[in-house]
Amino acid sequence: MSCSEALMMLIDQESQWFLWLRAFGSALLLCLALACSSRSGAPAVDVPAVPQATFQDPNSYAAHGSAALTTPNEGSAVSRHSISLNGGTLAYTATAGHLTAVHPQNGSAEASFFYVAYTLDGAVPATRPVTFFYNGGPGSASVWLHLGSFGPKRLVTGTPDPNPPTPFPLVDNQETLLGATDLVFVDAVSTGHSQAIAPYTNSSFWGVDADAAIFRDFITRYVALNHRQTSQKFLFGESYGTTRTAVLAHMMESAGMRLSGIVLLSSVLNYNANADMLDASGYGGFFPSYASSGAYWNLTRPVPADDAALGAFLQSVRTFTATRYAPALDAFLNHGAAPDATLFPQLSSNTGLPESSWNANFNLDAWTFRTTLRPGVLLGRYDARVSAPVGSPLAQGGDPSSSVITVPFASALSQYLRVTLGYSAGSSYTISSNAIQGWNFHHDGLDLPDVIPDLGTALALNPSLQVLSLNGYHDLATPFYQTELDLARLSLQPTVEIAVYHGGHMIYLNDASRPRITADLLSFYQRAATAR
Amino acid sequence: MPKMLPVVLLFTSLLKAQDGCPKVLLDPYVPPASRKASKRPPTAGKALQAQVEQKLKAAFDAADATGQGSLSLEEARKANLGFVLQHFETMDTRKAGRVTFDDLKCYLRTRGARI
Repeated sequence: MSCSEALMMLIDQESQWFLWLRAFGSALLLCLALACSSRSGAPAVDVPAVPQATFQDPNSYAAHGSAALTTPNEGSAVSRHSISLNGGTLAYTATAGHLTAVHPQNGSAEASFFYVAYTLDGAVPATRPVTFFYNGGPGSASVWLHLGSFGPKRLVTGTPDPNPPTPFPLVDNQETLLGATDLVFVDAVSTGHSQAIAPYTNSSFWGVDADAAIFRDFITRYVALNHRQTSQKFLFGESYGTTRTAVLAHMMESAGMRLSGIVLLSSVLNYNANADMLDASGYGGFFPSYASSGAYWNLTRPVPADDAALGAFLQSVRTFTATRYAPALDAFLNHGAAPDATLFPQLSSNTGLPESSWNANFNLDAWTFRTTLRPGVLLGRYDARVSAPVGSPLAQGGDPSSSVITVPFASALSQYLRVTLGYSAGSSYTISSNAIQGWNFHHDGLDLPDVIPDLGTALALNPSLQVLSLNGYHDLATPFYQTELDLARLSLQPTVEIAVYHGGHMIYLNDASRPRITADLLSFYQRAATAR
Repeated sequence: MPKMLPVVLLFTSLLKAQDGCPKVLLDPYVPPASRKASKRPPTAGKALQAQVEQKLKAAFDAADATGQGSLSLEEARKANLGFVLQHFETMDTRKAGRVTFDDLKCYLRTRGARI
């Protein structure tokens, strides 16, 4: 079967999913007018001289499964920048390049990881916290967190506007976490410029366990090279990155690399509980997200007037789901029990979908919700607030909220690496690889990963480990209520906190939410600092 | 017409022209062939604590190369069990030069672990 046939089959079989465009290529020279960061202004602290250097990496990096690098290097581009923040100026160094992950037991070089590190100038490395950021997929580069969330620069996306001005302006990020922690954005093997080293191939690391282990080995190398052994360490993963984080946290604690905290952004912690990862499974975990999305589109009855009303509304929806809808759904799916007709009025009023829809489709899946809540309109999977008319080009990708950001992020990243950070390679940056198609999801005796036990094991090894779960009300990929249920399995762990914000899967793109998330993250770092 | 659409369309066609196979990113996503849900209900509470203990025990047993039911410093080092290495002295209450799984469990409990 040809590659394109396979893809069409995938589309046919999984029509509710769709393409994220692989966004990179020579045609994408969109001439972003990225100004180099200002290097003027007095540094806030006595800054030792950091030599600046661009780096023309002689290597080309490949994303396919059989690719294997034979000439890894640990070269990097080093550049100095500053950002005005809260009335002061932070001077920082950006380091963009590769480090070699080495097997801890047999010493073999496993993979050449591409990373971009932002370190505060003048800080003492040994006492400065460091946070490792990565996206998920599996097979996604970390471009979304890197240029969208809490780094020193971010893209202005206009979310949830489906037609924002492009290219997205790149601005100094007033919500950066650089004041609290150094930040390292790292790309998984086969994404970005990361590649396996021969005799390993990229696909050697396409699995839940192998992927987490290779991240551990990258972090080991980063920590050793940069003398960060005594730094407080944090993990910050998104989506599949939260799956990775739980397994990785267990591995790191077991290996004696103590973590201070982990941030789980838009979690999938048990694939066996997220109905969109399965066939013929119950969508009860999605129902509160349907409700918040219906409320956003003013279709619920009543429509919550403000945040307090929304909170009360969603609390009642959670209760309804737990006590009535989920048990009825379970009986319906497992025993063929006809739904209690008294459920339909509330299913309808809580979401805005007519009773007839619920009657016809009691286990209402996310694709049906996204295509029927507003007739003729497709809602986003990542962000149900982003919509596009059915049949429009933006809807053809299957997720308008994804289509609208992919190309602008990809083009901005290529410019940013080359122009602002001074790094270039012989190959283009891989936004997403084929890893997901060849991924070994097997973990801990199950065909699909349930990583709550890994999180529990990390917490057993380190009861001070702080866990912060960040979620979006309008995320129809990793619904917040399902994450609440998953984390509740850990029962009353005092160090686990859950927060939900306005926005989708990438809640940080929401201008109104980002400052709140940053405030909560700063409190989290503060708690972790005193929890030692 | 959204400003970015021509770029998307242009780019899509270019990608197809290049290798006929645009890359997909669907996060999270499971290909149909891998969609094998667990029949086991998810563990919670005491059952989860037991599962955590099993995971710790499995790592411990894997490191126990000689099958004695206890680990030496060298065995812990070889298995990359840095946690055991770092706390070996404290766990080895009998000063036997070896720690048992019960030693590890007791030590974790004193630190607040619920296993």
